[in-house]
Amino acid sequence: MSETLYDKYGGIETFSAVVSNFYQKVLDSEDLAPYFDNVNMENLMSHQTNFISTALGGPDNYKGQDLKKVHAPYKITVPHFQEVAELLEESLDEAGVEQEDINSIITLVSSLMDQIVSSA
Amino acid sequence: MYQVHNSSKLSINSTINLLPELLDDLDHALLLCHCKTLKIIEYNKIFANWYTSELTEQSLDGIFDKDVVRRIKNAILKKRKYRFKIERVIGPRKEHIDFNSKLISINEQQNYLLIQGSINSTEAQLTKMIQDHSIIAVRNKKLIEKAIDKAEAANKAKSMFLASMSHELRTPMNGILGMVQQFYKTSLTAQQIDLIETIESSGDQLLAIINQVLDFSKIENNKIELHHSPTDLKELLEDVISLCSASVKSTSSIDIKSNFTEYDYPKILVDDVRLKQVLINLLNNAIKFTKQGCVELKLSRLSSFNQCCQFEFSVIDTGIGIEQEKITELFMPFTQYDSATTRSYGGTGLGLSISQELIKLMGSEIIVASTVGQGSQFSFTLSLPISKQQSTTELTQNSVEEISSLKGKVVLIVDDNNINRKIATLALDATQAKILTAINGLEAIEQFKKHSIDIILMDILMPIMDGYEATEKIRQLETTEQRTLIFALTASASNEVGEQCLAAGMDDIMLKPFKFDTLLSKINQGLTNKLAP
Repeated sequence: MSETLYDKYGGIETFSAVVSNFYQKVLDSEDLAPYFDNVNMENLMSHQTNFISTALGGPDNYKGQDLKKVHAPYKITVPHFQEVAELLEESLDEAGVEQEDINSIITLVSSLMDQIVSSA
Repeated sequence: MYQVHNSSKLSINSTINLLPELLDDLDHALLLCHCKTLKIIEYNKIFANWYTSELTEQSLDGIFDKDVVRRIKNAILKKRKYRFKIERVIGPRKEHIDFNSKLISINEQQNYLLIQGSINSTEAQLTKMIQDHSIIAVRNKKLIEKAIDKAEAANKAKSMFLASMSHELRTPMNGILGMVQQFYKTSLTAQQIDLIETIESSGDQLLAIINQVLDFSKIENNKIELHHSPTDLKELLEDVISLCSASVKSTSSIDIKSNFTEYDYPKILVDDVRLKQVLINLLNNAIKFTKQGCVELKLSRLSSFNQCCQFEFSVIDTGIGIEQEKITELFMPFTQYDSATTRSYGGTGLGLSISQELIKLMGSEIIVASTVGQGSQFSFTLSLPISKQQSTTELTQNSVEEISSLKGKVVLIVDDNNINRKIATLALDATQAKILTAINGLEAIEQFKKHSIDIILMDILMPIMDGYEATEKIRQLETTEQRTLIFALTASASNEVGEQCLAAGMDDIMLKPFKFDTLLSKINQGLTNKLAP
């Protein structure tokens, strides 16, 4: 069995740092920040860390709800989704994840666009 | 603000000249560059401190690594803020610096990139700093505690040394002073009397110094306890005057007098021994520093209220006086008016410090008023409760009666020291009492079994059996009608020894060295009390 991306980059420690860095970037963005006005960021970051860890072959700790259902009320647009993806890419880059692995992660994330975007 | 050159088309700060100074005063670093070329336009002092090299005209590539610059460019393209962290040694420390870059647009043509940096002081960073600090604090606390323990141990050792030295010094002093008193009884020429008086007064002085040092070590260790007893203040003050006058040469031209504002004072409760000690010290000081004129000991009642009287005690002299600024120094231990004082007037420099502490223990303070060349006044006020026991059963015994009352009595002297036994024997030789001796507690018990003994003078520390044990055993041997007077004769001046003596069953304590007359009157008082229970 080949090594998972989760293990390759140092497991939970690395990815919780990536997630925290990522949300910092998201909140820095004037366009994206309003989505998170009334969101408990700590909970969200914990969910996101578990989600990414699971997605990258780490332990399955994701106890979140159905993606489509959670994102529907926010009416997320395609450009905003893309910007978020870019910020994630940047966060992974900063954490020292190789471009090839970044690409496969972004591909995985892009495949979730349909469940997340609900506005034109 | 460090500026590239005047030709650069910068309009941000051209309108406000104050801005450069303001930016320099900020506590974070600022750097401004063109957003297209990334050429540095200007930066503030802090930025210059962090990056010492000349930054003007450089590109961002020169200061940040290529990944950071790449992401900055990307953020510019996306019109986003970009944050990054850098580790850099600044001064003596490695600092974590948080940077963030953002676009500033003046208009379509003028877009700049502003980079701000500040030393990371996040919670984690602060926590680490505090942890480091607390480790140091704990270590320091341990060092301090160690030092305190050491200092306390040293101080304790000093006190024990002083206490045992005072004991060791009192014993030979007992020999000297005892023999001197005995010497007076022999036929002496006028010259011999003069010589022996000098030995006696030197011995008394030495004893006073030993007592002062011991008192001082007791005060330092809070070992002084006050023992209140019904006291006639007028009598006490007259006593003090006669004691102090005795030390003044008859040729002296100073007048020592008492000044009572009332004819009679009620008996009050006070530690008469300590009060006397303070007054003697103050009066002797006044006498020491007064060449002519008078020294007055004054007692006045300030108020009476609720079975309590407030008295003011003053010692007023017409002596050399004290400068205002030297007054506080007077009460510091081992200090005197000036070092020349020690040479010309003698003394340990402990007297006033001890007196002040004793008066403080009584809840007051000695206050000094003085004019150089005119004189000084040392005074203190004491609030003292009126004694319930006002009627005095005066026992005006003269020494003749004291001597005669011992006639035919059997006195046992117990002491391991030959000289001490000799002195006690000599002290009693005019009484016509029958004297027995023993060199330790065990021998004392043997003597007690063989003879009918009236009075025992018991040393405390002896080989084979000490005075406490001997007293306890003797008390067990006594029948109900028969109770022997037992006096401790000891050179140990501590309260504990006194309490232990009484606990062992002794009747009273005499401190060595003692005056023969005092010993006799104590024995006599003991006999009188025994006859009239």
